[in-house]
Parts: sequence; C-alpha cells; structure tokens
Amino acid sequence: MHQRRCKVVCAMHIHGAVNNFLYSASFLNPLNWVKEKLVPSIREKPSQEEVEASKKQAAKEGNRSVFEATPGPLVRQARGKWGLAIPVKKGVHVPNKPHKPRPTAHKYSTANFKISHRKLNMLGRQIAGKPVDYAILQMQFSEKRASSRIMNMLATAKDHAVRYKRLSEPKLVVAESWVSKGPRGPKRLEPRGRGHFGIRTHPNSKLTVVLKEGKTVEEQKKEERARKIRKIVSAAATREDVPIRNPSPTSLGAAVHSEQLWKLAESKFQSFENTAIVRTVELGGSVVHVTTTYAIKATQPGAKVYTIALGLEEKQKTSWLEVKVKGQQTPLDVVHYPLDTSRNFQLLDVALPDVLSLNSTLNLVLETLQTHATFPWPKQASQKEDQALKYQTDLFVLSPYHTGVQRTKVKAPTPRVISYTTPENLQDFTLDAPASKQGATVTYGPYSDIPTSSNNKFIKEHQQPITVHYFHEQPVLEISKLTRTAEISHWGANLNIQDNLVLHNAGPTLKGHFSRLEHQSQSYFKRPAPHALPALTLHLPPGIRNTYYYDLIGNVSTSRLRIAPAAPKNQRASRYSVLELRPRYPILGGWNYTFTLGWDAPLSDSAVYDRSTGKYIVEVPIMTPIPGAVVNSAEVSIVLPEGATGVEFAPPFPAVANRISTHTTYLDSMGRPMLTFEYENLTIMHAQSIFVSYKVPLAAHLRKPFVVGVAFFSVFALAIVGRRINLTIHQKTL
Amino acid sequence: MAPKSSPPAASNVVHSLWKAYSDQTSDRMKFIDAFLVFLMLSGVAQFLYCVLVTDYPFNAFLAGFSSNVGQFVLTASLRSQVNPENKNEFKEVSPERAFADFALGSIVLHFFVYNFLG
Amino acid sequence: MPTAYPLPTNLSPATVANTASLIRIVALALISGAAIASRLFAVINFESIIHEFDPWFNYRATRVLASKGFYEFWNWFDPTAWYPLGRVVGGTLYPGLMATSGVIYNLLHAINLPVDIRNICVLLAPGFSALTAWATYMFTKEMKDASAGLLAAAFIGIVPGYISRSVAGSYDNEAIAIFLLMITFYCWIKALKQGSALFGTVAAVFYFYMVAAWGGYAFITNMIPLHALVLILMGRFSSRLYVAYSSWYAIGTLASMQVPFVGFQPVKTSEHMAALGVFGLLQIVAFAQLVRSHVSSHQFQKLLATGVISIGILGAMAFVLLTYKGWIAPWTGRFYSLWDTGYAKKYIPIIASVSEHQPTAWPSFFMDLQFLVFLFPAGVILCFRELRDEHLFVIIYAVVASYFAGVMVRLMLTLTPVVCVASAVALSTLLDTFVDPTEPEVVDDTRSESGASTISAPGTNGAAPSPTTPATTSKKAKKAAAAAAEHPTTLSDILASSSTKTAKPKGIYGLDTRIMVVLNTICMLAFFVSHCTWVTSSAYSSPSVVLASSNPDGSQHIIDDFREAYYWLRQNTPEDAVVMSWWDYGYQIAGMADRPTLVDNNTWNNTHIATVGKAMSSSEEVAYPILRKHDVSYILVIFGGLIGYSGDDINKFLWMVRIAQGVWPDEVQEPSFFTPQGEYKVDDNASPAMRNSLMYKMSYYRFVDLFGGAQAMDRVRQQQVPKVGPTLDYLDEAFTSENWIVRIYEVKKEDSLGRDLKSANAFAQGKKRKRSKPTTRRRAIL
Repeated sequence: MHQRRCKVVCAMHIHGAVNNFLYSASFLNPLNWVKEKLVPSIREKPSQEEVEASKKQAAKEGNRSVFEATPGPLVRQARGKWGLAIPVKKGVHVPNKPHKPRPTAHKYSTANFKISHRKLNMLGRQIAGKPVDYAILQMQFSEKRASSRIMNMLATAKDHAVRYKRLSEPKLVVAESWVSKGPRGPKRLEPRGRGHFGIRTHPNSKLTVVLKEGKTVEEQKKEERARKIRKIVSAAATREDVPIRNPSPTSLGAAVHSEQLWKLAESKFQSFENTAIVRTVELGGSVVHVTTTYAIKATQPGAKVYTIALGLEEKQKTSWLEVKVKGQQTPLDVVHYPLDTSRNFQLLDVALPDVLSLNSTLNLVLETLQTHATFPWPKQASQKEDQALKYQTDLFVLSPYHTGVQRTKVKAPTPRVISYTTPENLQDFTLDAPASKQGATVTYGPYSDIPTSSNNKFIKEHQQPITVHYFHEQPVLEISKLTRTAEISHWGANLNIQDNLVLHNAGPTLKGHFSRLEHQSQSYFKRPAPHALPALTLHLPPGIRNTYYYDLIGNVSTSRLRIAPAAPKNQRASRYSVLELRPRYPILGGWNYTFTLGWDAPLSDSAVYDRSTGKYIVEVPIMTPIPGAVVNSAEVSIVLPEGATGVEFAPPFPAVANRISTHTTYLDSMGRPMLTFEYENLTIMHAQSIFVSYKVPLAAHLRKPFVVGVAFFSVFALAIVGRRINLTIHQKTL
Repeated sequence: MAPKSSPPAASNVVHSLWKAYSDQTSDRMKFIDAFLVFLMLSGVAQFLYCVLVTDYPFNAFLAGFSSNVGQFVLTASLRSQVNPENKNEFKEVSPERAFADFALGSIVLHFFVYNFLG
Repeated sequence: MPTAYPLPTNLSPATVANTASLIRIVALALISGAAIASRLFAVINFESIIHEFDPWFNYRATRVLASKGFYEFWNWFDPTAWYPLGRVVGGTLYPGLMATSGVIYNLLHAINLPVDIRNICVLLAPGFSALTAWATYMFTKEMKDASAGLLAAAFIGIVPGYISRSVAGSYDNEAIAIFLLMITFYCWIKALKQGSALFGTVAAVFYFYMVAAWGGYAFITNMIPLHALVLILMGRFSSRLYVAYSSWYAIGTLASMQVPFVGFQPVKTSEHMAALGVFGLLQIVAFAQLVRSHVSSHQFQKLLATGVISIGILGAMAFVLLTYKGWIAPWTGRFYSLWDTGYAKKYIPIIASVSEHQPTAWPSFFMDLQFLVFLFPAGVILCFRELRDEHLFVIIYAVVASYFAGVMVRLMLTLTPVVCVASAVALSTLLDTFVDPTEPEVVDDTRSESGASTISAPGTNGAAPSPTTPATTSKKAKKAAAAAAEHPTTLSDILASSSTKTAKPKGIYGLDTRIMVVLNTICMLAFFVSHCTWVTSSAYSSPSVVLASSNPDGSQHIIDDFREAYYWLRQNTPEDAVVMSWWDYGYQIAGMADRPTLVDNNTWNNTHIATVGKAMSSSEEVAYPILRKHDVSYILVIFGGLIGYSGDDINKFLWMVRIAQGVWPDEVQEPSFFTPQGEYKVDDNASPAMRNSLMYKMSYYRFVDLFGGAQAMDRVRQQQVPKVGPTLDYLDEAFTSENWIVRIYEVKKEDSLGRDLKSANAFAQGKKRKRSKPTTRRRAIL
C-alpha cells in the first residue's frame, strides 16, 4: 500500500448494441401475446425505441439517484440548444460529422487538499468501477471526511462530461480513480512523554477520476444472464425417473480421468511459491466465513494454473467456494481434483486470468463458507445462561508450494473469547508466541518458511487442530428442510413461489423448561436470551402480491409485511419487501417450528420473452436469503405452464440431483412439466437464480379454456337431453 | 248380550264379509290380495321362528322380516292406489304412476335389505 | 270490478306466468347468495379456520376419510383418544357430514381442482344453508304459495337462530342437518298430499341421510308419527296417509338401521316405539276401512269393537313385556332431561355442564328471531284458519319445537325453521291482502273504513294477526270453495258454514292504508335484515379458537394463545406424550396438537372424565399416582386471569368437582371448595381444599411474580390473588402461552434417587437458597 500511485482499472467496454430481448410484460400475458402472434405488425423498430423510451422514462421518474447534478430537463436543454449552452464555433459540434474523433473519456480531479493519501485511497477504491450515480450515492452516505468533497467533484465531473464531452449520461461509470500525493507542508514537532518527540507531517493529496461510457449495472446483469443462457445445456428427454444430464464445469472436471490430473499436478507444483498466506476466519453461528489470501510468485515462466489445497474435513465443511484475483470482481474457474481418501486433503486448480512471467506476483483470494463448523458448548443452556460455541480448524493452511510466511486470524463476533488452544512444538516455524489474542481476534503465527505441506508426511508431523471457544449473541439457525415450489402462470402473468420450511434452533438445547415469566422479563429489560429467536426478518422481492404465511393449523396472525413497489424495467431492484416473521412461540434452543410462506410476483419482473427464438426465459431464485442460517437440504421445484416444450435450464451451481416430472393442477388436462432440483448446505451466498427457458405454442395456451368450455357445454347438453328424456318418461307413466 | 250372540254373529258377519268381498272385488285386486296374504304368512312364520327358535343373526332376521313388512305395505298402498273406489283421493296418481312408484319403492327397499343382510 | 291502482291489462297470462317464474328463480338465487355471504363474516374477520370444539373432531375425521378412503374410515380405531381405552370412531359417530365433504373433495379432485380439504369443511355449512333456503321455499310453497315460500326462504337464509350454527367454519352436524330436516318434511307433506309412494320413498331416503348426519333425527322420528296420529284421531284417515306413512316408515326404519352408530335402536329403544306403534295402528285402521267398505255399518261396529279392544290390549301387553324383558331399552337420560329440566343437574352433571344444554333465556329468543317472534303466532293462527293436513303438521311442529327450544338452547335450531315458515305465511297473507288491487264493490260506508283504519294502525307494533283477520276471511270465501271440493269430510261443511257466516265481501279501500301498512312492513323487514347482519357479525362469527381484541388505535389485535400452545405441543413434545386436560379441549388437542388425550368432547365414559376431574380437584400428592397410572406426561390448563378470558378452567372448576363427586362422593366434596361464607373465591380466604387443588396451583403458579411485588389481580374473578403463590413439587411448568391463557405442565418422573419428589425438591431448593436468590422458587433440575 505504499506504492506512490495506486491505480485501479476496471474492465471497461464500449456499450454495445441493445439486447434483443424485449422487456415488456405484454409478451408474458398470452392475450397480448396471441394478439401479437395473430397480427404480424412491424414490432422490431418500435421495440428499440421502447427500450430507449423506458430508460428515459425511468430517468425522469427519479428512479435515478436524487443527487443528480444535472436534472433531466437541463440535460435535454444542453443537448438541444448546445449553441447557447456552449459558446463555441458553430459547425464544430454538428453531431453527425465531427472533425476530431468523439471523446470517449473525461478526466477530472480534485485540487490537492489536506488529507492523507492512504485515507483518500480508500474512497478511491470504493468508487472505482462504479456507475457514477452509484459512486455519488456512496459518497453521499460515506462517513469519511473527504467523501463530501469527492461527491461534489464527481457531480461536477459528470456534469462536465455530459456538457463538454457529450458523453451519454446514464452510461457514465468511474472507469479509473487514483490518488496522488501533493506537496507536503512543513513538518512539525510533536512533543511526547519523557523528552521524546515525534514528527508530524501534513500530507496533501488529490483524487483523480476518469469517467467513461461503461456498462451500467443493468447491462452487467444482462450480460451475466446472456452468458448463463449461452451455457444452457439441453435437458434430455422429458421423462420422469431419468435424471437430466446437465454437466456443470466442476463435475466435468471431476469426470476427467484423475491420473493425468495428478501427473499434471506433480509437474506444476514447482512453478510457484507463496510469499505470504493470510487466512481470516470470521466466526459466526452456523456459517463461518473464511478468506484466504495467497500472495504468489511464479518461479517458472508461463505459469498459468495455480493449485490450492484444502484439508479433508475442511473440504467437507465447505459449502461455497470462490477464487478471485484480489480487487477484481470476476471469479476464476476452479477445477476440483478427484477426492481420494488415501490423501487426506483436496486439491483445486485455479486458472489464472493471464500467464505469469518469471518472478511476477499475483494476489489470489480464496473465499469459502463453512457450514456446521461450530457446535454449542456446553450443549445445554438454561433460559438465563449465555450461549457459547466452539470452532475447530487446522493450524496450517496447506499448499503444494513452499510458503514464505503464513498467518491465521480468527475473528470472534465479540471480544468475549472464552478460550483458544496454543499450538505446541512450532520452534522450526516461529520463535515467539505461536498464538496471541487482542480484542476479538485470535492470531496464529506468523509462521515463516513452511515447506510444501500438501502431503501426508507434513500433515502427520505438523498439522494440528486449533479450537476457539467464544460467546455468540445471535441464535444459531438451521433450516433442516426447505421445499420451494415456483409455479409459472402465463394467464395470470404470475409467478407463485411457496416455501415450506422446517426451522430448527441449533444452539444449546434448553435446560429445564421454558418459563414465560423469564422470557417476558428478559424482553422487558431488553436482555433477550441469546439463543431464543422471537422473530425473523426476511427480505422478499419487491412488488409481490398477496403474501401468505401459515403453518399446519392455520395462518399465523402475528407477522408483518412491508411491501416495496416493483422496480421499473431496466432499473435494478434497489428495495426489498420486508417480512417481519414472528413464529407462534419464541424458538428456544433445540426447538423446532415449521411453516409455509408464499407469495405471488408479477411474472414480468422475472421473465423475458426472446422473440428471436420464441422462447420464454424465467429466472427463479433458489432460496430466500435468511441471514446467518444454513439450509441443510433444499428441494426446488419449478412448475412450467401446461404444454411447455423445449425445456432448458441453467442452475447457478450444480445440483445434487434434478429431474423432470409431470405435475397436474388447476383444471389441467395433460399436466405441466415440473423441474426439481435438490441441494444441500445452502448459505446466503447460494441465494442465486435458476434460469429456465421453454417454448409455449399457441395451442397449449388455448388448451385450457377450450377444455373447460367443452366440459361446460357438455354439461349443458346433458342437462338438455336429460330434460327431454324425463319428459318422455312422464308421458309414459302418466 | 255380546258373549251370548257373538259366535253366530261373528260367524255370519265374517260370512257376509267374505261374500261381499268375493263379488265386489275385481280379479286384479284379488291377485294383489293373494300376494298380500302370502307376505303376511311368511312374515308371521319368520316372527315365530325368531321368537320360538332363535334370533341369532338379528340383522338377518330384521332384514327378512322388514323386507316382508315393507313389501306388504308397498303392495297395500299400490292396491289402494289402483283401487277404482278411491280414485278421487289420488288425483295425480294414475295406476301406471302408482306402479312406477311401487317398483321404485321396492327397489330401494330391497337395496337396503340386501345391504343389511350382512 | 274497481281496483285501487291501475293494472296493465294487455299482458297475456303466459307472459305473466313466465315473468313470475323468472323472478322467482332470480329471487331464490339472490337469497342463496345472501345466505352464503352473510355466513362469511368469520372468514373475513378472522381466517378460514375450523371453529369451536366438535368441528375439530369432524375435521380430523374428514381428513382421515379424505386421505385413507372410506373403508379405512369406516373401521377406524383411534387409540389416541380416551388414552388407555381408545375409541372406535367409525362405529361411534354420525358419518353423514364427513361422507358429504369427502364426496365433494373427491369430486373436485377428479376434475383436477386441488382444493384443500379444510376449505371444503369450512365452506360446507354456508353452502348447505343455501340448500336449506331452497328446501324451506318448497315446504312453504306447499303451505301457502310461492310468495310465502320466497319470504320463508329469505327468513331462514339470514335468521340468526340458524346462522349461529352454520357460519363458515362451524363444521358441525347441524350444518347439514337442518337442510335434511326441511327436505324430509317437504317430501313427507308432498307424499301426504299426493298419496304417492314415490315421495314417501324419497322422504325415507332423506330420512336415512338425516339419521346418518345428526343425532337429532329422533325429532323427525317422533314428529311424523305424531302428525299421523293426530290426523287419525281427527278422523282424517285417508289412504293417502296410509300410503305416505307406511312407505316412509317401512323403508326409512330399515335404512336408518344401516348406520352403525344407530344399529338396532329403531326397534329396541323407546324413543322409536311411537313410530312403530303408529305404523301398527295405521295398518289396523286401514284394514278396518277395507272391511268397512265391504260390510254394513252395524256389523262393522261389532267387528271394530272386538278388534280394537283385543289388539289394543295385546299391543300394550307386548310393549310392557318387552320393556320388562329389557328388549326395549327404557328412556335415556338425555330424553328425560327434555321433560324435567332439573333432571340433568341431579343425575347427569356432564350433560348439565354443557352451556348449550341450559334452558333458553328470553333475550336469546328475540336475539335469534327478532320480529319473527311476533309473526310466529300469527302464522300459526292462520294455519288454523283453513286447516288442511299440512297446516296441522306446521301447528304440531310449532308447539313441540317451541317447547323444546324453551328447554335447551341448542334446540333453538329446530324451532327456527318453523318460525320462519309460519311468519312467512303470516307476512305474505298480510301483504297480498294489502297489495291485492281489487276493491270490494259493496260500498258499505263506515264499518270497513273504521276497520281499515284499525287495520292500518297496529300494523307496526307487530300485532300482525289483527289486520290479517278480514283479509283471510275474504280469502276464505274463495278457498272454501276449493277446500269443499277436495275435502269430502266434515271439515268442508264447517268451512262452508263459517264462510256463509261471513259471506259479506270485505277488503281495503283506497291507496293510503295500503301504502301505510306496506311501508311499515318494509321497515320491519329492513330492521330485521340490519339486526341479522349485526348479530351475525358481532356475536356469532368468532371462532372461539382465536380471540380478537382491539388495539388502542382501533385496529384488530388477534389473541392466538390456543394455537400457540397447541402448536408448541405438536412440534416440541414426543409423539406419544399423553396430554391431560378438561374434556372441552380434547378434540382441539387431538386436532391441532395431534397428541393423545385422556378425555374429549364425546363424553361417553363418565368415570374417565370423573377421574380427570378428581385429579384436577385433589392435591398434588393424591393426584400424582393417578397421573402416573394413566402415564400422563403433560397437563394443560386454561387460565384467563391475566387478560380476563372468562371461559377458563377455574370457572369450570366446580363442574369438575361435581362430576368427580358423582363417582367418588367420599373423596371429593363440593362444599369444601367454598369459603365458610359459601362463596367461590380464589383470594386469601379461599378454602384450603381449593388452594391445594391441582387446578388452582397450576393456574396461579408464578402468577404473582409477574406483578413484581405489586398486588396480583385476577381479572376474571376480580379478586386479589394471595401474595405468596402456590408451589409445585410434582409438576414442572413446561410452557405458557403469550397471554398466559394456556399453561402446560410436565409431570415429573419418579426421582432417580428414590426419594419422594417433595423432599427431593426441598433438597434442591435448600441448595439454591444458600446461593444468592431466596425469592425465586427455581424448580429442581433432575
């Protein structure tokens, strides 16, 4: 962090053509859809304009940030009568034939002002790569001293970029931002105790930004979506009981015959060394967040695959894993080695973004989420007592390479750490105290000069478990089973999602019995028991309709819901509907509670119609993120409309199992295809979406009304015939 | 005086009754009456069996007996409905309709009887 | 002929008839809609939930039926009810209700309509109320005419007396029984009028359905024979009566014996003997008629004398003999309690303890029937005016039902339909007297004017008969002719004489009187409607499972303690944990908590209930062995003292004591639970027996601590609870709901060290006391 000029470059693209999707609900409502089909009018051109129009519309409606430096009309005035706005020679600015190439970037900076470059740099990192509106928003709410100044600077920069450089203003992103030191003022003495003195410097620095027409967030999301859809693998035959082949990258890797991989691995092992490994463990309830930073140095030219080693039980606990280059957003591809039990560790290959030359360095960040990694200790706690958890992990971060220095930080949620193990016989790695605690953090290491550790020998000799015993204030939540059913209805333009959850409090089980008196007094004195869960706050998507929340014996009248309006098209859903979900009784340690939660969402929010292929593409979230809870097993079923064909899907990560079956419901004549995915150990990081695409022919749309109508008329006909017959009988008898 | 004159009186009363019956009633009526008498006899027989021997499968006995009774009353009502003498009582019940009713009633009755036999 | 207001003349009779029928159909449809809609308050105010207590059992049984199929349901033995004993459910319930909703359920699922069985159960009662309206319409149409029928249908559709048992969610037998009652009576009347065996058979089939649906079928079983008997005694015997009655009885009785719960009662118990007797009598009379048609009257006298005498003697002897031999069961207790209201209190406290078995209070009559109460007698009197057989039926029905309604609150239900019918007859007579446009051509000046004025005045204050008298007489002139045609009996000449007596045509002159009376009537109807709506929404549509209070800002606040506690039981206790509670909550625990219960709401075993009562009312030491013997693991009590829920167990406690006393007179004495002054108190001067009783201890355990030193107040009894709360040695407080309404206690197992729990507790507390807190009585941690 001491380099003179730290520069953050974000991936920057010139904005391409508008996507070929039509984001309009009208296509999802079959009536309009049928109309559209029947009347083949020219729809392409208007649709283009529609997109533009809707964007402008959104901008005008103030869905854009409030801190707009130049409000909509002003922009248009500047666009329209540029002559008045900018006093330059005419003809120069005629849009269609400019003399010099149209500028693509606008660079702007603050003056030098009295701030440390290190402090300013944080803001620089924060806004780099963000859309300018978003950056301004960040600055508005940042607590740093410089933030307001940066905000003004950004606003001005944006204004100028729009007025002078005529960059399109909704696309502006902060492409680059860097901090440079200015002249330092005269140093001052700082008197210290005992006749000592220090020297005070008064640094000046400034922040420079480059605004370019980059991708807005919607476009990033759009591309993400497009990428996933490109990855779609066809879902074999629509037969039940036969699972669908949907090979995902990782499982592919696993499929590749293992021996070559091992050979490859052995050969590659020499080509790196870790200058430093820092592992940070953020302890929590049922989910533990582990971040490991590898500072690697290539010891051979042309190295491009780096190998990471995980301990065996660590691997088993890990439910989510991602490798990035430090400071970048896009995750790198990871290939898992086949797991064989003779070696008690697991290797992963990481494909580096670009080939490293000799001695060039790179910082890799490995983020993992561990579930069921902690356990309550003591196992029982009465209503008054605290809840304490234990976390156990290995001392050393394994690596197939030689490691210069390595350190492990274990951060407890509170400073109240009861105990932590001090590892033994580490004299050949470190000389001073092997473990130290300050505040809420327990630090192991630094341990220097560690040989290649991903082999049984090292593990046998040096690897040892370390345990941290700490207090935890929040209840430890587990969803032992989540069953989600998403039903897509085109007639209602509606996406119904219903979850059945089995909630379990995995904290220390309640010792003795529950006393309402205790509970009431605790909540009265604002000292709730740490392992009692009185209520749960969930974030549901915006714009949802008739939410229902009930359990086996009727609906639970104690829950509250604040619904956010649906986000307009081409705007990201910034707000959530907040469901304050209060079970019938406070859930204490070891207690269970089952409930059902469902809602209707407008289909247009989560589905698009791709008119080039005539396919619908629907996005179904796998789970509603429940902060700090782990979902032990989940089963997500997606019910497609009746008569859907050509079903394809792209899950964000491979499922344990998935299948297609037939599901028959409201007045169906042939049943609806139902996709079912099964998952395990989902965490908040897994709250992503499954993309399903399918065709629905017109006949299928019209099937239901036809069948119902036929049924009705047949009933009437029967009634008529019946009357006739009755009459004849009467004639006979009378 | 009743005890003294009753045996002859009763006897000739019965005689006159029988005579009146035999020449006033049409053959169809007589036919129905024969059926009625048969039903009555079988009912009596069953009842005696129940009282004297055993009523062990009670529901079976009930089924048989009540099928007798039911059939009896249905037939009796059929008789009274087709009887030309009380035409004016049954205005909207023509003989055919009466027979249809009779058939339906018997069907329902014997459905339950069958169900009840066990 | 002069008319009061101009009439359109250019209408062909066909058009009139068609429009009339169309209007009738539309009106019926609207009435059905109103009937259903007014019963949905419960769903709108609260939610779609099963109400009260018994419906929870019906709902549970229906779920079994829907999931497992009919045969499983038919021989379903439920081991979790009446815990050690179990209950043969299939043989001890009226399956009609469950079968109905089961059929509907399967029907809907057959056409791929996945409707939840709960919603079907909830909405069954409103649906059938619409059918009831239709049946009442048909019935009343037989009495008078279609317009009266429509009025009756409208009344029965919204009258609170019927709504109280058929709001959405009150999934009980009465929900469909009333419809069956009316349709059966309709078929009976129809069969009687036409003398067709067809309608007799249909009546029998519906009677069978009724028997399968409700224990109150005995009402029909005695009502129809009574009618027949009265007809015979009035010398109105006809072959039509014979046909109708015997076809109904022969088939209906046989059919009713198919229901396992009824079994052989129709031939073995005294309640059903009346029907049998009338049947026999009818046979004899019919035979006599036959004979009479063949022989001379003088001989017939003799035959009749000998025959009737001998058969009468024989029948009486047979009946006495059978009763004596015990082949015919004597009258049951519930039956006695109908005649002697004090009977139940003395001998069957369980029946007496049910609130709906209490005699009816006067206000509830007005609350349930409003102005129909006034119209009802008028209608009955009108039935006397032209006395056809069906009118006789209505009269008998009215008399009997109003007596029963006076005896038991719940029998209000059987009174309501006849009230609606009768008052509809009265009101429609009034209306078509005053709407009928024809004016009498005889212009006799003062009398009828004054008559008219006297008519119009009292129209408001509900004295409906007075205006209707001249009306009916004027009608009677017409009717008499018709009646004379169809009754060759003595009735006709009575009518004729009466009609000749008042032959002078009467009627209403002018528009003003008409308008006044009609307006008054319309006002009454409007008030009636508003009253019904108000009563329904306020009184009758709260599912006593969920209580509603209102926040300071007026918004509704739901008190959901029952379900909270039941669901806790369901989720966090072992599957086979036996829960003991007073029998009121048995069905709810079985339905919502899904746990075995000791006793529940079908109170077939008095001793078992008394055992629970004894355990509740005796001290811990005495109760503990009882609890362990029935291996009870949880006890559930209802305590309203904190928020003032008056229906709690302390208020029911005396009944427990009485019932227990009935079985163990020497161990439980009611007087010992009163203060020396003979008051029922829970405060400082409560009797020792009271304060040691399990119920008292469980209700007030740690209740005082909640007030933190302040004076603890019981909001229900309005008494101050003693400063030192009770302690528990043999029980643990396991769960208490949010507002302390439901409190669940766990029964401790025997002490592991073999000490008795009292000393073990004392020991544990002793250890506690050495450490800091002396005040909190912590339970022993075993």
